Amino acid sequence: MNTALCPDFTLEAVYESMVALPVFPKIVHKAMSVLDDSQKNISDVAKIIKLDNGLVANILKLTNSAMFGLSQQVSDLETALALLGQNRIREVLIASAAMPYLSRDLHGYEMSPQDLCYHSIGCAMISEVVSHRLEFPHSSELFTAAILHDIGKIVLDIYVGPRLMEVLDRSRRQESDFATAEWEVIGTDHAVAGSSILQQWEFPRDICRAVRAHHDPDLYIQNRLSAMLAFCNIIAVQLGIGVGADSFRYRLSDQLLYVLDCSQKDYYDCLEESVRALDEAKDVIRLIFG
Amino acid sequence: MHEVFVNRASIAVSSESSTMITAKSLGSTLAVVATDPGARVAGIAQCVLPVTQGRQSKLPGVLEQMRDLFKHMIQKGASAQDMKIMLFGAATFIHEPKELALGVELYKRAVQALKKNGLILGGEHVGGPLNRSVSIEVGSPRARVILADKKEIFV
Repeated sequence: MNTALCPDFTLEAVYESMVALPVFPKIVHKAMSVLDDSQKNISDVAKIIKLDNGLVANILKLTNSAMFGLSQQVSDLETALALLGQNRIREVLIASAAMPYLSRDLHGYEMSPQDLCYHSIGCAMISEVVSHRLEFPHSSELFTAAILHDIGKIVLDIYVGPRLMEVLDRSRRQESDFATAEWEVIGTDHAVAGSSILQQWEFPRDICRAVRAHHDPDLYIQNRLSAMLAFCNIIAVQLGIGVGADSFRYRLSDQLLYVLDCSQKDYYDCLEESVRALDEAKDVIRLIFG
Repeated sequence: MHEVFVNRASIAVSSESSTMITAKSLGSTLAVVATDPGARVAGIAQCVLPVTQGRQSKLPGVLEQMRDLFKHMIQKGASAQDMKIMLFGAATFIHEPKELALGVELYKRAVQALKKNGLILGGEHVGGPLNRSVSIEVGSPRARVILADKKEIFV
């Protein structure tokens, strides 16, 4: 039997393999649910986080970095949490827990571990700027989606890594959209894979949907969180923040700025404020990259 | 070799020998590279904004940055006649609406400014879905472009 003629079930293989990936720390989800509970307070959140020393250390490091703009250095968890406030706590938790997943080499996307980490952190910082500028009320959800939007690249690189070079070749030769080339070669794309893993990790549906849509111009204009995530990713790529071989190989929606009610001036303001935010956050970037 | 890195929306100019000026991962931003090999002066402006955003803006537009770059080059001993000017970066998505076409807008304004001032564009590697880094060594007439796959091109 000529196996070359057999259908390629890579998609199924990828999804089966995803079950074997380490799960996102349960402690983070537990702490987030306590944050949502009006009957609980910061001490209750701290009690849960204290169960994970690594998480505590990361939270203190990140809290003391310029990314979170505190006026004083803090050394104990409860003070850090009290100073940060609810939304910031969510962001620090997600950033701390996501970092170990994001520090990987992605040969198939021609990205170093620093590139993906820098892109994810940069995109999250840009999300803060864009949320503020465009008065988006769900900035915390956008931050989470921005940190984790390319998690599918890790999954695909681990399980179908060698075939990603074929994807890149095909995209270059045909000058086609990278996601289309991913579908043609491996039967899925990193946005779909990322969304699937976030569902397995029990992230809210809106965040999974935004991650699923972030390169699909027809999908991301259908709801604001998805459109905001796509916009943040575009700005990060345009500013050269952790750019991979695929980053510019996508089609952008002609309606994106209209859907976001974002004028040309707002867009340039977002670019300007993003450059400033990234510049001010040099120490957190140094902290992450050593 | 001493390497000086240019930040986004800033410039770096040097007349020190054995110095390399580098703008990394340009994305859609535009690197305006100027070199006067005879005078041994080189510089890069990494431009982010096509125009300066109102009075409260802290970041300059592409024209202000080019003016600043040439002023610093001349202050360091370069001559306007002998200066070679090159453009790099300005990457584009495979389809992008006009209002999000940052690279195209930066490039267009830079070329217009050069023409208006009678300056000749000495070389370029711009546009397309390619992320680039660019370096220029003080005293060299050529810039080195590095693409995402580590391929090097000299312009």
